[in-house]
Amino acid sequence: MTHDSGGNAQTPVERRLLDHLGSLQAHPPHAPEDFAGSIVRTARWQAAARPYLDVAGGFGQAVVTAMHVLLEPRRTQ
Amino acid sequence: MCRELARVGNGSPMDPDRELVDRTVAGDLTAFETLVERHRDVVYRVAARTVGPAEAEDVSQDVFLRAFHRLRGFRGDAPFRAWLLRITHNVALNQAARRRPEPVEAPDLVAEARDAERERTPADTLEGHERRQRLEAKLRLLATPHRTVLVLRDIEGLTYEEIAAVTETPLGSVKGRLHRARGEMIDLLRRNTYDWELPE
Repeated sequence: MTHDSGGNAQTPVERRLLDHLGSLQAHPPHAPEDFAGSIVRTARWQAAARPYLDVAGGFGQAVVTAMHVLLEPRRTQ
Repeated sequence: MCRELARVGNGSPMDPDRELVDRTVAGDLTAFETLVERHRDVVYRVAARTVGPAEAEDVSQDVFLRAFHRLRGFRGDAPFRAWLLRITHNVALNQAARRRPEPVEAPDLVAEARDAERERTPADTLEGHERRQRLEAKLRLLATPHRTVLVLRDIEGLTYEEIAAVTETPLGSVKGRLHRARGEMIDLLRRNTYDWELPE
């Protein structure tokens, strides 16, 4: 990622604003300590559950479609 | 826009994250962990400054998990980092749109009351930490599209082209938003009783 901070300030007041914003750049917020570990743990169980959820979702969709097919003629009668 | 996104990055023809992405897609979660470690700071910073520190962790987690599940769709015609920042931008905007407006004025009034008291003491007693907190609070008063452009340009240091790609906005609009965002920020600081030492 190209770093191009502070450019294109046209006026003294804009340059002063960029000085102030530079202080935020120098003191960035940090992600919590175990951030990556926590995400990977969640990704792991989501990845493991995904095939089952896909099957369950497919089954649910099939049930809905079947109900629709079975009930639709009665509605039209 | 795809061409613009493809330019986002370090200019290298090879994306340094490509191998890790391929390994993650193949099921190697240690590769994904390396990707998270490599990019967590920029994602967290952008999230924190777009939606505020209280929601930054949730937004950042959402970003990485979305990226994880969509990784098969990552074609690699743009660097992974740019692709990730685009997801960050979209998740943060959705989050900002969903929540109720923050009661930002109330704490500011308290801060301004403290300012009046501090006028009796030397200005340099105001610690940098409090100054930055106040600046962050002012930043959150900007409209989200303006705040995003200001954060990406003036704090994160992205180029106009990079911002255009990440925010999926025409280059001219990015420049216009940045100009307006800086103007609004200057107005906000001038309305504060604390002296930000802004020249006329």
